[in-house]
Amino acid sequence: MGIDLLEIKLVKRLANSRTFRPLLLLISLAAFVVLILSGLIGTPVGNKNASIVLVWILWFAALMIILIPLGGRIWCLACPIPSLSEWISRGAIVTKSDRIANLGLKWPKRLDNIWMQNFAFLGVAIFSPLILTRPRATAYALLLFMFLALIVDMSFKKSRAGRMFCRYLCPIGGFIGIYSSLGALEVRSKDKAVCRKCSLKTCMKGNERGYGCPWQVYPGGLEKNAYCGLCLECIKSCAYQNMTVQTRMPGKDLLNKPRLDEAFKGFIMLGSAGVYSAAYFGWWNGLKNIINFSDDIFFASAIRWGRVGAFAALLIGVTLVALPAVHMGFAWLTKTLSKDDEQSLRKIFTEYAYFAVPLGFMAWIGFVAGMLMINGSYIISTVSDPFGFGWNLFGTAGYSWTPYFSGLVPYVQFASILAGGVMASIVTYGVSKKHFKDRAFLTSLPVALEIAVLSALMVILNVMP
Amino acid sequence: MLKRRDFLKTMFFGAAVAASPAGVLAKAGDADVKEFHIKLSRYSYSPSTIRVKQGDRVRLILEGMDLEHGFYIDGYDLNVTVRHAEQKTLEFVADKQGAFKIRCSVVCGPMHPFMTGKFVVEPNQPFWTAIALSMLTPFAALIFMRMLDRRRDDGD
Ligand code: SF4
Ligand SMILES: [Cu+2]
Repeated sequence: MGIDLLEIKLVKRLANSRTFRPLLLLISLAAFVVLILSGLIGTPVGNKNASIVLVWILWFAALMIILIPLGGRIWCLACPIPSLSEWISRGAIVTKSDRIANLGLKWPKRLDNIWMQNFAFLGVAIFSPLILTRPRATAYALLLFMFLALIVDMSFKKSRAGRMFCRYLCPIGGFIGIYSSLGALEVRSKDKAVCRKCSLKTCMKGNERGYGCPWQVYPGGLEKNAYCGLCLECIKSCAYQNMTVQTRMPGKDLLNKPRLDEAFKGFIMLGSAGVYSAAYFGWWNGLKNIINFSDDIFFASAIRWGRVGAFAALLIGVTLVALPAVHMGFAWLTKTLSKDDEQSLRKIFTEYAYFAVPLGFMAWIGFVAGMLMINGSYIISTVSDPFGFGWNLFGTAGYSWTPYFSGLVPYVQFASILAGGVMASIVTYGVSKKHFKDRAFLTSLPVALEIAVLSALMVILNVMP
Repeated sequence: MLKRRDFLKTMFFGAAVAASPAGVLAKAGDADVKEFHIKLSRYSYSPSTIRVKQGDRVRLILEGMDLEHGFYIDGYDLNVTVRHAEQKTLEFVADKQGAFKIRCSVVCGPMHPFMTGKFVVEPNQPFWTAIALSMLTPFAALIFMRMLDRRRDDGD
């Protein structure tokens, strides 16, 4: 069905090359260092500092609007954050080494899920009023991520050592993971029968050509994008060259092995899109005051912790309490309508909750697109003067703030929410058909109503009240 | 500066869309105007919502309370900046329906990009249309999928 990208010679060569990814990493790492430096020593004015403008406007927009829809987790292929830990623990950058240095602590079974990522994301979101506006805060956050990756990756292992930070802790990795099921790319085995008969399992154990999956999954049995970081090791290490990268129908694997932690991730992302819209670009001055955590432009002192607490309560209340509670109500209604005692309420809650994945994703796309249209001009000026030192590398430093098509922003955001509503309904109907075959339409109605109400709420918060 | 901005817009998106601002700066003194006094301070407008009727002549008296701030209305593409203790009057005809974000256009501190308010021109038809569509679409999608299913079943 999909196109096997390894049929393309160049892609095949890149995927099998041990230099390709290190090359990407060197580029992204260089950019990362410049951005951190800019955050630390550049101007404290956020919209003139590359660490804010190029990370939170350019990179974030590219991630949401281009990378995830086209390539799912493809960002994780080039992400600089775990690069150091990977290189140091392997003792190699390009060549395949035989040993991975690791303290050998077992990753706790209780944490073998994405709850830590859920909380990590909320943590970042709570401090987002500082991170999004203070270059130093962004620099510290990025450094912290890299440091944690180093510590966690080199201390813990599951079946192998590897990308433990990415898999269990990274606040970004959590949502890239669930949203990657909406992406058009996947790493899968070509022929499942080959994998079933294979006794070598070099995709897990590794061989002289590639490492065993650093993401702790069994590549041969992959059915889900969420935990595959597209690092391409299995392409190299499979003894039968049975692993490939292919295009596919977006959303195909969204409902494979539904889990409560992922369901909550969906709510966290959807809810924070709503809270962000209201707090950052809304008109309620009370809320505006809350996110003004500090008058200090460096943020080093005088943080008003009361406001941090209030914002935390709002975010947590919406994402972990209100949305799940509302959904529980609709899930109960669905169960009642289904007249089916086989499915537990918990299961119904969890599976239908996946409607929030596309709805939240599209709400974020609308948010980010609006951000890009209104503040994208900062990118043009900042590339010429990334540190805000008064340089003019490309002659564009003087480009002034120019909103592009500001009148269209609400329509772009509205269109993405509408598209999100349609996708969410498709998910809902899919779940209903799976469990309640001849009551599929009827049992979809409650969650469709939930989608309708939440879409309207997003329109009110975001678009054009 | 303005020239360059217009040039870029034209280059990227075509002259049609880069149409000139709909609001017209006019002399004060007309009779039937809706007047609002708005205070600009870090990082909000007060009042933060301005509500008028389509066709109204609107007079906004903007007063800077601390640093220099801007007053830019999305869609209307009006932009005025006001210094501390300064007052400026902006007068125009609210000819476009809808809700439009007001944004600060002068970097006034860390939270500057998030200094926003709204300008509502009633009847806000776009809003009600959007609400209706966003609520109907999920059900429409369901009905459509059921139709597809039925057709497929009939085909078998
Ligand atoms: S999970 Fe996070 S740290 Fe790991 S590669 Fe992806 S974005 Fe980077
Ligand atoms: Cu301002």
